[in-house]
Amino acid sequence: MSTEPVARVSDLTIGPVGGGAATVSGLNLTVPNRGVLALVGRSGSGKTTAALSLLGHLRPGLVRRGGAVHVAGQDAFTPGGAAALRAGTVAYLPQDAAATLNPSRRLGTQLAEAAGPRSVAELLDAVHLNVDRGFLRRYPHQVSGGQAQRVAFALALARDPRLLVLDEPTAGLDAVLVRGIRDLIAELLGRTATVLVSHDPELVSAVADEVVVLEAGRRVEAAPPRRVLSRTRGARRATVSPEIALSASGLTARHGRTTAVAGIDLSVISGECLALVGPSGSGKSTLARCLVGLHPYRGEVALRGTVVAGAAARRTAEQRRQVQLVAQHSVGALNPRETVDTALRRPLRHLRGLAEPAASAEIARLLDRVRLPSGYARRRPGRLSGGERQRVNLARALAVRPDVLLCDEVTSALDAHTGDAVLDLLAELRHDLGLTVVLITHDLATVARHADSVAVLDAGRVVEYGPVDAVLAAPDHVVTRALVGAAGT
Amino acid sequence: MSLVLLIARRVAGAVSILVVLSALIFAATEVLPGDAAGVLAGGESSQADRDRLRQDLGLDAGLAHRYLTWATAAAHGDLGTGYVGHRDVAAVLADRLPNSLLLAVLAMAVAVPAAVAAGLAAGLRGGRRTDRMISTATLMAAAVPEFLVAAVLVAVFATGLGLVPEVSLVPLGSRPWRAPAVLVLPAAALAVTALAVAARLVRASVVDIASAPYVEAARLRGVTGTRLALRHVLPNAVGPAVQVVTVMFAGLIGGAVVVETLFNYPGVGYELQQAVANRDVPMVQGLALAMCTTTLVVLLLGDIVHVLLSPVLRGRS
Amino acid sequence: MTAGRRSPATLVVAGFAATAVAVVALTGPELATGSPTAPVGLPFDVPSAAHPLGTDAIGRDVLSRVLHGGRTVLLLSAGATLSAGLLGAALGILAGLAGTRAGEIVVRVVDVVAVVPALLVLLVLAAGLPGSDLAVLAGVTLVSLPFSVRVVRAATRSVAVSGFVEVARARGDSRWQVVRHDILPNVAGTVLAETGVRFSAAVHLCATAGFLGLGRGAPAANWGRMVSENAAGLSLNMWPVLVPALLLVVFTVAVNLLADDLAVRWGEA
Repeated sequence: MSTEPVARVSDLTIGPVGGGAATVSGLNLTVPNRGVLALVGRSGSGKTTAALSLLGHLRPGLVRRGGAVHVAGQDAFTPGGAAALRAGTVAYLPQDAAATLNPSRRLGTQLAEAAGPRSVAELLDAVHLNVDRGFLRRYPHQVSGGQAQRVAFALALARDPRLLVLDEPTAGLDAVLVRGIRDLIAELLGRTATVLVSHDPELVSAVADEVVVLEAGRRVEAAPPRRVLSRTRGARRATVSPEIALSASGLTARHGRTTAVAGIDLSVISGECLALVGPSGSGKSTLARCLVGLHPYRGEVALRGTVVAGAAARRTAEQRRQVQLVAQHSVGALNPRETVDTALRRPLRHLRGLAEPAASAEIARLLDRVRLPSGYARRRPGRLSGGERQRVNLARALAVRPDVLLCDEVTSALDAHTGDAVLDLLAELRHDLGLTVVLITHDLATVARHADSVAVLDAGRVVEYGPVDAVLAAPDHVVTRALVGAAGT
Repeated sequence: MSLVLLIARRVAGAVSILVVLSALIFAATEVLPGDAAGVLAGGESSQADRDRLRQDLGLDAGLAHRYLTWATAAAHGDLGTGYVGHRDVAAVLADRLPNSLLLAVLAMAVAVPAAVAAGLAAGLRGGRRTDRMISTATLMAAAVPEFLVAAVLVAVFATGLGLVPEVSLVPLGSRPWRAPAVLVLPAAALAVTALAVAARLVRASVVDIASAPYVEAARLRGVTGTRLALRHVLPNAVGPAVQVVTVMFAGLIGGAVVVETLFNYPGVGYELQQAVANRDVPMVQGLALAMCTTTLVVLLLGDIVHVLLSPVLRGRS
Repeated sequence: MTAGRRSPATLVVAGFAATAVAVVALTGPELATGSPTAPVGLPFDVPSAAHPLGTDAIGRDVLSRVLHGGRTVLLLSAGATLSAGLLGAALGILAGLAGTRAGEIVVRVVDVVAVVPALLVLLVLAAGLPGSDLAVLAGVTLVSLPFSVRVVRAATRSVAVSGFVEVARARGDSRWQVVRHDILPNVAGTVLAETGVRFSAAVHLCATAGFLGLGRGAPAANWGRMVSENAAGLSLNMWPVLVPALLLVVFTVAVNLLADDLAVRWGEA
């Protein structure tokens, strides 16, 4: 087995056609003949562009300004070289692998066309799809997501490529599917060299042999090891009798015909941080929206013991003030046409009745609290980074002086470093302001670091509930165990 | 849901829309019912004459009553008698419809292949010179109203070059296809606009499909050129293609009115325009209803073909 | 992916052309010296010093008729675009904020009109209200309504599920406040783009309506109708057909180019 690297990227620079900042700048990369090389970095750091260059492909609007890419002895950027590479030397899978399946052609036809020398059965075997003949006659939308994914992998591996390029294979997937992909990748390690583009740190640490960090199109030294945070517990631990800040009883909610939340009972002690975890589709977000009054439900929700109306519109202003929701995607959580100032002013005006000059003073105080410079008040969300937007989101929620903060996947759209910073801020606020926090997340590392108790949801029910240490150390329910298993290594 | 049930539901939907449309057509044309009697009786008639005429024609009944009478008769194929010349509306329709259909078919025979070719060429070379040229040309051609396109064609080919007759002088009782020269300009005029609109629709669909992840993945697997177009792009283009053709046909119905009027072509559109000018209400009602029915039938057929040919839609239903 | 932006030069030329025609159409009646309705010579006279464009089918001064003939087309198109826009925005936002079912019903009701070919709607209305410009206005408004409602509803729905709208609702902001602060500013771009598209369609329709003799009839001057009135004498004097035709072609093409570019820009925004 040759020890020559399978691919070499030399001083590659790629940028937009009309000029402007380069997407990839002077990149040097050596991809060894075996093993997994991970390309990591924030979104926009040039990872996908670099990965596609290994096939000699440039997304529309980009042009190669300099440098070269050689794969298996071919120059990727000559027409002959690119054609030779794509004929079977290099294979590529984009983020949503299943989307590479043609929706109007049967799976069997697509597999047969790509198969070449090997048989379709061999291909399916390689990705551990045990299926009957009927499967091959189906169309992509007629099989499960996991199966479609594996077929897409089979198509990519059909010609026995020497290099496999995987672009964000686990982004947007729930824990169970992620685990499946991870196992698949681990198995492929012996057979083909792999370049893995990902900003999922757990996947990278699980499979990568070498990690290359990209930032703004350049290769940088690996980031310093993540700080191991000390546990941040709520200072207000129950002294006499714990006050229940928020509770739900018999909460049931539907999405059309399906039941999203099925009879949930829940209490959150004032000052604590409760984590709500579960696979995607388990009803976490729906539950959060019910608690805030945005989704119709049956059952009762009580704030500090007082039962509140079902819809936010029917609750009193005081009740609406007590619980605030911090939404998932920081982009969609802020009105792109509003300045930060206006975004903060509206809740101050509507729920606290503040007018000038008190309002402006409060806005300045809020920005300070979330560690943003006061000049940011004039900015629109478009000019803020992901982490900064999430801070403004927090500030807006804090503006009304809530008792309870419901944080729904507040860091899932951020890279690990920024996400940690936001959670640290949250912990600090909880400590300083005595907030109660309900943290909805799929990331068990976050749960371990920040939460006091955890409730595990599955198909709309709470299947396990207790102090974090206990639950994570000895998970009882099968879902909890699957989540813990998928997270830790 | 089975296919038969799906089709039955669509048909029921189309029928209900037709009923609503018939009511709207009737209401819109009968806004000033009294005038009909006035028109027929003539300017010199006395009030008494007009009242008697109104009674004879049944125009003194309520709007709803008159509508029901008309609608039930129409459902049986009786569209009444026109005020001008006492022509039987259904007979006029039966006589003129083949002429209009001929024109439409000719126009589509030219426009559809040309639109597909132009749209494909523009869509597959998205953003580059071919695309920009075709896109701009089709935009401009679609922008110009049909009567101006026709006027230009007449000015150049008929008046200017004398190649074809200016007006479609078809002897009474004869059929246009016996004198094919009269078909050229009207069909060409219809085809130009239809082509421009359809080409833009085709291009949009092609661009959509060409940028889909499965097409990029196929490209990165080494599939190129014709094979890419035929095996990976085309199967997904069926749905949009059917839609384009049905939209085109429905659009031709409107375009036909203009073109037939300009060329004095003996079709349904020409008759309709004349009827409106003459305030021949029953004729307008009958012809309008017929045109709506045709449009609905075409849309329905397109819908059904789309479902039949698309694996995704079939799978979902 | 789009057809690539038009070059700025093209857009400037289009803008200039559209504005020029609009100015002629709107201010023409003030600039005209002669009468548009009085016969001043033999039919289809060739251009002379007194009548630079000659005379038309009834011997009227063509230049005067050209200067008077654009106002109707332009005002009707603009009026119809505006009313369909306002009505469509109101209905669209309502439908977008209501539940999926209610919204679908609104769209379906409005779509009944969309089934009918546009000219048919105009013709049927003209049969009921002959010689009425108002009927043309109502007709074009009605025809553009489904498109407007659809676009606004889609834009509203996509904005309504945004996090910031939910936050505002959870906060208890009134419906009107949410529409004013959160919905409207974020659908404005889309609405603007579709207004441009609708305007070009409206001009197309109003010109054709004039050609077919709908709306206020003879002896009022109307560019579209001038083409049909004077077609017979094309070989004698081509100006009464050519000039209004040219003005209409330039205007429709320019407006379409601008509207298309606007739609592309906002699509990417």
